[in-house]
Amino acid sequence: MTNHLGEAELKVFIDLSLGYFATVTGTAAQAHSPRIEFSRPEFSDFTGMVTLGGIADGCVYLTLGRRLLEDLLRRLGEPDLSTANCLDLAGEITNTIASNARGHFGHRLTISVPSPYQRAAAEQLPLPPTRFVLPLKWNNHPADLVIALRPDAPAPTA
Amino acid sequence: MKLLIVDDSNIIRRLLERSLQSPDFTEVRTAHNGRQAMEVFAEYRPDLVTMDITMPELDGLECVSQMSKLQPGVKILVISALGDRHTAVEAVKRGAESFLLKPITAELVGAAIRELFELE
Amino acid sequence: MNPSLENEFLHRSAAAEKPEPQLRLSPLEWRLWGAVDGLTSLAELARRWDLGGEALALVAGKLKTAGLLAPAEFTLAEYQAAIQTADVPAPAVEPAARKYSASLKRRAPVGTPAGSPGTGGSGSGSAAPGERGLSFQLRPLIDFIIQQAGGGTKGQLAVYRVFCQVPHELLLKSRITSLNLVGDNFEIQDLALKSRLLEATRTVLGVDYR
Repeated sequence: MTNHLGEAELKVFIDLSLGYFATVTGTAAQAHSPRIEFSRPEFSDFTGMVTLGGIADGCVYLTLGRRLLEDLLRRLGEPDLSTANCLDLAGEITNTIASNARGHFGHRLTISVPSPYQRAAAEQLPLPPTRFVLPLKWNNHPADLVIALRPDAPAPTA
Repeated sequence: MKLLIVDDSNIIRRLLERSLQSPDFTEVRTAHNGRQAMEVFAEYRPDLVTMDITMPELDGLECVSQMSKLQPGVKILVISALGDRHTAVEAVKRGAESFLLKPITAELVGAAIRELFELE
Repeated sequence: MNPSLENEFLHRSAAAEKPEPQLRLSPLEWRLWGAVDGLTSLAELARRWDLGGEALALVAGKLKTAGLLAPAEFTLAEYQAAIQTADVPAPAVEPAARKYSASLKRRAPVGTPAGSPGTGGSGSGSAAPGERGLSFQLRPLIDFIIQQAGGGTKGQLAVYRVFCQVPHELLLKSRITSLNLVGDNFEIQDLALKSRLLEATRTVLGVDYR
């Protein structure tokens, strides 16, 4: 399979991620210069992940620290800053972004129902080894939007 | 008026409960999946329902169909992250009065509900 | 063996990287087509496979005519550096203006300690033990890819797609664990990694990096 996740698709994920924070809190998030990672992935406290199919084979995830989620919960008027609510919110953010994205891609790109994970569970996931990491920052809290695609099928060899 | 909030996210249910606290609503109930929503609806007969689409057990579109048939005139506001036009059109065809795209804020929901009742 | 084969370096041409299904090649033609890497001469391949040089030259000629192989070319600077580094004799054939081919021995340059650190960047790339040769700066390649792909996010994604094609064990072996797309530079000394990067660039962009 050849992965054709291009600039247009990435831009959708970026805009929706940044837009989420702007809409819900009135404070915009910023994207910083991306990096490519080859080592074992590092996850924050909570991660929301969707798998991709169709024109791309891999996954997209947003990994966020507890402090960011607690700050966001407070902004939503939620007094209960428990782990359960942080996990729920990580899942809700990812669900919102993924569901919004489906509207842009139609049938070209299939996006799974999102799954939220705490760090320990996320670290057990089998992920493609090479990842495109877009660092985000909202209200001085860091987060990473990560795209991890499986390598294209190799060309035939002798 | 009686309000029923249907969403599988605890955060969203609580957000909507807080946002829609008003003397206009004498009672507020919630449901966390489609099946529970239909059970509560049948017994509770709310005036207004806020409905998520993507839920376990029974999805929101099917709930909209069934609720509209059981209680014609019930006002249903679909609140969903599904951004494709097809979902919004389908929801309205099945009986929803309005569609709000997530992410939501208290102000957005409040404005959508005010619009619903101003249209009467 | 014809001495000119010592200086004949070929690589797969970009246009024919993925042959049409109806293309029929003999097993030796497939073998040669898969083995060329721009760094190993035809003579070396013939020795490895215990074949006559002329026989392999014929096969290579056929693939060149079919547009499946093209000569690998080096700039004058690369040639001079290779001569100084590898301490090998000058080619028998006078190279054409601005295009030189060099015979590179696959051994560590004299005087370079194993595992010497790379230059710049937040994660350092260092020479891996094993296959070493002409040092290769990663930053110009990244800039080339970004530019060829149209710049901006498109270009950055193209870099990602190139690196997805490279076995990440090779990168980790060169101690490259992370790469900032703005600023980072590494000096690659591992020939296998360099070869895979160039091949991946060709595969993703359809052009050769020069």
